[in-house]
Amino acid sequence: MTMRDITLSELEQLHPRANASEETFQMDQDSFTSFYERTARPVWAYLWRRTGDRHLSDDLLQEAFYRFLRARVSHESETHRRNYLFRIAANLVHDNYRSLPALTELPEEGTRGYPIGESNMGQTSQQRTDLDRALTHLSSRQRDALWLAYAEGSSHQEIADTLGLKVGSVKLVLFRARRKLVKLMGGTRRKS
Amino acid sequence: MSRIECQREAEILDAVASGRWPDRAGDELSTHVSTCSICSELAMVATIYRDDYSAALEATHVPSAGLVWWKSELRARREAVRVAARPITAVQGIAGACVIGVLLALLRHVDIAAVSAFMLEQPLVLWLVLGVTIALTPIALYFVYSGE
Repeated sequence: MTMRDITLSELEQLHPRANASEETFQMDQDSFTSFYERTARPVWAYLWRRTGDRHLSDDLLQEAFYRFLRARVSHESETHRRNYLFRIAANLVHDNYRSLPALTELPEEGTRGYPIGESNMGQTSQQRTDLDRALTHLSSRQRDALWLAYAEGSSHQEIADTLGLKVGSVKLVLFRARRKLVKLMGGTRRKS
Repeated sequence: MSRIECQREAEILDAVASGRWPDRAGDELSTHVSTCSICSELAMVATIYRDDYSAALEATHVPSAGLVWWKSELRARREAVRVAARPITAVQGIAGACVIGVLLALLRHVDIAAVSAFMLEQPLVLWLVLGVTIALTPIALYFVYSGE
């Protein structure tokens, strides 16, 4: 008894047909393009600020959108869809952090992982460095909550949906995170 | 139990998001923030994050939607092929085990001494078998490993 390999024609049959992407993914290409245009930059910014690595952020962005497309989840609204995407991104960041040694110090300027860009010049660079140093003392959940609340402008309910917490817990996490952050960088910030 | 939120948080966030904080937020709100520790912390943190978010967005360079879609499609295809090939691989393993079993069963009924004697009497057959083996082995190996 002998077994044969898959033939090329059979492989072709496994390829998606014209509308197979719609069966595989939760939305068609036009809807995806529209959604991507609205969300890719904020998600990338979140990934970059959480990982500090542009290349890793690129990879995680691709992974986040792939998982989003493959997920068989019905979304009640655009906000829900967006929160779901951020939830995937947050999980990817957490998974990535678990595989890395704990970050206690910022990378040296100019080395891999150090944020780069024109906005790093001058005072903004100093503020970012202060913020980065302070954030290393906050938990991953606190950093996520702060970013979603004050960078993304998400409501407590949206943050709760994204991070899988109760609204009351979100308020407490934010309160403690703010207090800790102000304590860590309050002096330099108030002076400026 | 100490307070963890203030009723005026939304006003602070709105002022920061719209860029009115701190200069154009109004005296009344500024006075409140100066006396409320929760709101002063909120204003400071929200301002830091607003600035940081703007800087991060400026530095953002994302690939096109088409590229991300194409990569996702490609990956979905590969996964579909892998999933489809999984049962075939399992069947191949079972078939291999069957072939070995059949060969072992046949060998029990073969008189090795008689075969050896035959080979020695007919060396041409021995060379023929060796030649065919040498010729077919690379082809067989190609088909075995071509999938990888």
